[in-house]
Amino acid sequence: MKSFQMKALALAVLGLAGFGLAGSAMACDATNLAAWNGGAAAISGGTVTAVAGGLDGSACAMSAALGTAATSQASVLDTSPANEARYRFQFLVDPSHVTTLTAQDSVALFSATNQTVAHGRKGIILVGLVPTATAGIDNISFSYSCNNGTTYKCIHTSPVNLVAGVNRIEFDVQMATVGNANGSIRYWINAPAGATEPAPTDSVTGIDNSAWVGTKLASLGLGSPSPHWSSAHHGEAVLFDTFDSRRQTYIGH
Amino acid sequence: MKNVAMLLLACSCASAMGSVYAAGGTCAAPVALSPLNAAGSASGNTCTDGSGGGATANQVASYCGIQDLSNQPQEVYSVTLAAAGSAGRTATSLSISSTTAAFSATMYLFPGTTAADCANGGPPCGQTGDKTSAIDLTATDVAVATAGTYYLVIGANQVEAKAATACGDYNLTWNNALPVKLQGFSVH
Repeated sequence: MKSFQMKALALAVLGLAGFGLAGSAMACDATNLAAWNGGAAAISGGTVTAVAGGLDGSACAMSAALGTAATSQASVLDTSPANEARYRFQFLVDPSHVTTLTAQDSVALFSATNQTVAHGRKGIILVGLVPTATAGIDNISFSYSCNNGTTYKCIHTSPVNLVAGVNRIEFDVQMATVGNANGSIRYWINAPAGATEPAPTDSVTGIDNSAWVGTKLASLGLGSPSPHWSSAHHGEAVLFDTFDSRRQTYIGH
Repeated sequence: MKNVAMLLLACSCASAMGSVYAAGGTCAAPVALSPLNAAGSASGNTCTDGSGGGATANQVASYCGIQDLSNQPQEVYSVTLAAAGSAGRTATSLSISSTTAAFSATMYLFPGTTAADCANGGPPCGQTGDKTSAIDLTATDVAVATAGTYYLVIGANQVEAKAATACGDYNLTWNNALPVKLQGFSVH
């Protein structure tokens, strides 16, 4: 099939959704994006297309690029999560077509948001692409809602950089129980193959995030560009593929 | 033979005079700048302007939702800008320099009216500039084009943010480019 496949939810209780760009002998066209029940959000000059050359060996990948506007967005949306208190997600990303990032560049790759606003925020986690001190080597940084009493936003940068080309990124986001600071975020960058959960690349624990309930909307693609990204990297494509999300078990590969 | 004479009484040269400000403040108590309709400057040192002569405190932990600035000393100014291109905004660029080695003094200019807006660091993200790139205040298609109140946060960049040396001196300058006005015109 050429369409953007929904994986069979063999783990019906534990699984949420899996989206891969399967492709076929036919073109990698817009129908590949149809599996995302929230559709594509190509806003203010942003573009979302299916292109040949899947990141996991399949025929197609998703290509996202932003325009010059600060409000530009190029993503696909999954509205199937039901206020998930625990939300695991994984995706492949290849930013190698983006020219060298400078210190003022950043762009969002993925976001999970709550259904309602708490303390002026809906976002549970926002994962972004950022530069490192070494030109051409990128990293990820993520901000997440937290009850710090002031901004209600905390931030963390991965101690492990991305590799050139395709990177596999998996997160496990757990919301705190009401009145407790027992939420956590664990993540794996390019974890070794296998279905058994390895030690995470890094983690943040002790998060008080119960006010944001759980994930209701997931967005994969580009958004929230920094001003310099908009001026220097507009039109440059980042490739995505093989999105998967679950409630409980490690996704792996 | 035609003779065209034009009398230009005003020029677009930048004024060398203007307001001079000292070190910036905090998100809770920023130092207010003039509306950038006259040339001026501001200077400070994020390594030494803090309590007891030490480094200033971090004010904006994250910029634009993703950039991690959580470990760097910062100073904060506020400024009310007229719309880009209007008579109330005669400054065309905002520049920053520093003599501190290994410190990329960076400006983060973004809209906001409350201390919480400041500490949140956007989005909306506004504009940024550093020692090599000034903030263009003339463009009408950028996030700082509209009239309003903005915070101007001075610190290091996100790459340096985790380094112990991510502080230093800085000098902000903005110009006053008076528009060219045709005051007289005759054809002979």
